Amino acid sequence: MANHEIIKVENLWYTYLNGYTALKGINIEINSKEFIAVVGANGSGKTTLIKHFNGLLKPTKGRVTVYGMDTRTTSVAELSRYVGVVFQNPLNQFFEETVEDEVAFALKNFKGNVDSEEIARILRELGIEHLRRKSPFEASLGEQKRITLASVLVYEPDFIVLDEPTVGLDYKSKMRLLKILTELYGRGKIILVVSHDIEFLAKAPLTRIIILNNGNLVFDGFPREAFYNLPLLYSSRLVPPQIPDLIIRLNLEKHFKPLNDEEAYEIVKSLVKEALVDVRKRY
Amino acid sequence: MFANDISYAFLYDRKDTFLYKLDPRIKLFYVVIATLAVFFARDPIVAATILLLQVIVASLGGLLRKIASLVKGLIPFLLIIMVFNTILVYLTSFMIDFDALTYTFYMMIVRIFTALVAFTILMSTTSPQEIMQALVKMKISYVYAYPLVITFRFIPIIFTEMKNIYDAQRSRGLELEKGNIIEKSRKLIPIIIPSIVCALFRAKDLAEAMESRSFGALPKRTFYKQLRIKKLDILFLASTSLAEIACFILASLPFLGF
Amino acid sequence: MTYENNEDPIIKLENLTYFYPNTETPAIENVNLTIYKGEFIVIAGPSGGGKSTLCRVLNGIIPHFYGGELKGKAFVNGVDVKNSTISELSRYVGLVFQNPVNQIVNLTVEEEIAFGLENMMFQPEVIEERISWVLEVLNIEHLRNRPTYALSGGELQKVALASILALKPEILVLDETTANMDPYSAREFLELLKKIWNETGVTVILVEHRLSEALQHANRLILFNRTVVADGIPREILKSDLLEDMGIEVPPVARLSKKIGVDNLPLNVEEAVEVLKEWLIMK
Repeated sequence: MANHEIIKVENLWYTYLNGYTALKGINIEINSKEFIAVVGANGSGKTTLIKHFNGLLKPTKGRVTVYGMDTRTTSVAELSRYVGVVFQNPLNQFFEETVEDEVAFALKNFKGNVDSEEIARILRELGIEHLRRKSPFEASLGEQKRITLASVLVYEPDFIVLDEPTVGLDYKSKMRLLKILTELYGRGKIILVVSHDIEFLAKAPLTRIIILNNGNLVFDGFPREAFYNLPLLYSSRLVPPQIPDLIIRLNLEKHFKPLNDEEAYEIVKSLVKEALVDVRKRY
Repeated sequence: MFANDISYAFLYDRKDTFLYKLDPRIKLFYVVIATLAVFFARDPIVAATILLLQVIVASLGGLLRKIASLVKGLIPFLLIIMVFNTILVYLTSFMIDFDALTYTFYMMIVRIFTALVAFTILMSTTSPQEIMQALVKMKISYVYAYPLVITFRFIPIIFTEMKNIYDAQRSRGLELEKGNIIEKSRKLIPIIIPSIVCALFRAKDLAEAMESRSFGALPKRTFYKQLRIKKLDILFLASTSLAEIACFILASLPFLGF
Repeated sequence: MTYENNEDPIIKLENLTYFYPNTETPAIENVNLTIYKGEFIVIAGPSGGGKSTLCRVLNGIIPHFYGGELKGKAFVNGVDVKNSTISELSRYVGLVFQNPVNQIVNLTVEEEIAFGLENMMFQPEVIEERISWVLEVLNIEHLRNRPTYALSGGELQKVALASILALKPEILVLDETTANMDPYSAREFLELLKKIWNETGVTVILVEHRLSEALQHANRLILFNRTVVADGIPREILKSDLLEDMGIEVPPVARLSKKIGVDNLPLNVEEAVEVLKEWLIMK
């Protein structure tokens, strides 16, 4: 697969049947391995946007190209081979008797045959191998979300999209998910997360953040810039992560821009070290 | 699609014409009386007049667009019924009495439309809440009547949910368009099962939320908005009923040449 | 406004253990909890730890709706939960659930707010007063005649809250009510709760994952995992490692302050600013 122009969104407009225009002239280019966050208030168009990546929605105006394929003329099934979309509610997709069968479903549809070894491997990676023969309905929410992720990973798309993956999860489960996504990104997959969980995103190795506000794309760039731009965040009905909020109030943002408490602590440590070195130098 | 046209006809939109102000019980009686009247009628002109009356009432209430939508939606069904009927008659008696057939079809169409127009008048000017209240006033326990409201409230939600389910499964390679009848039916399972599961969880949540607000705890309940039968209601029901009776009387008077 | 530490607690749970029907492990075990009138309590814990079960005992849904076996003692407002009915307990306890869509039963907001009052046979004049009051307190007068399908996520939850609040319960229990909300709406919702607590003196029990937003409002924090693991002043509990051990989110500013070695842990960004300024000066 050529690595340029993986996704190209050109002047995308989308209006629903009831007349509501959810996307107003969006332009995005994704050219290489990235870890992207799409954020915005509820109703800003985030979910509408990602449904264009695998052809579930076709543009009202404009064009979306995925790995060179125009979504207007390519089927959802075809596009979904390359773009794996993990939706928010696991109960919207579970229907098999065992987790193994559930995860195999997409594999059956895309590759025809089912490799149980492959499935077992993916379940192990996600820490849910013990659920292999159990019903997906018996799993906890965190486990269910990992089952839906496994269902997509199993047929190895290069581009993985997750719609609000952390809603309803406790902190431990969120960190586990973050670790999994970071590993996948490290292996060369493109990860796109739609989320309004700002503290989760503040800990993720994001290469890029896209902010939608009422159907308009208002920001596309580095996370540090976005998280430290309070007017931008508030006008998009977002809340800054606590650490940037703190740094700004302490008037220190010109000197450092940590996104989360770990980065902030590193900065404090090095400051203290410097101060100690200074003190030692003097005495 | 035709379902869209018909459902638009029955859809409740809030407005302020006089039909909306009528007590729902009055409207219920109105529908029953109009339907009975037209089914008892033998004379084609009487039947037509009764139908005309419905249309007049509907137009007074600003519902003509809905009536047009209803007609549009029903035409194909009526055509199908008429064609089948004709074939059946031919097959059973090997001859077609055109006069009798015309009369039968005519009366059938007029009767169906009368009932449906009256029903449209009821459904599109009365909210499910009002209908539920009317049923309770007519001695039906509110525990059985309330689900009417709940169903209407959740219809759009259920549709959205099924759409989400369909999207999720399509994203996993489900292609409903492909395959023969047997394969296509099997492919519906990934749609049906999640729909049922989600509906069950929804029902459980709903039951908890309703119990938490004492639903069903007491045999009766009060209503914040009271139903009241006013002069307008009596006037409406009386005038329409009298008009329908008048049709019958006039029809039986010999000197009017019927 | 502070709470009164009366002699008579408003909720008293003694050695409470509950088994869902056909289960062998209890969902909650040996719970001992005393709650006084007017407190603002946050309950936090890992998913699956029985917090929702605990909530449902408070208004009788457990055991009366679910069946199962409830052992030990549970008294709410002086009433024995086991020997009472959901209907009676609902006069004192208002329970708001996580998903507002499945709580709202009527077609307009006004009808929804009136719902509980009508079921309890309140007179129309009283219902009118309550509706007006609740719409004003929650700042949603403009939603009075809105159809319920035309409400945003945040508005839905406010209406669900309004419907419960109209019953003027002594105790408000909220089971992860901000889970599905975007951070801006969640913040707004919690501030509204604080305002209601201030104005009416209602006892608030909040089950939350979003400690970054919720903790600053509480006078008491309970860590819960099948049983009470910790119970006390939020700042004190934060000092220990309990939250980290249980996989519960620690507000980033508190986590940073702890690592740095600050004594007085901040619960929100404003406090963090003060605390860190002092610390910086000291250094």
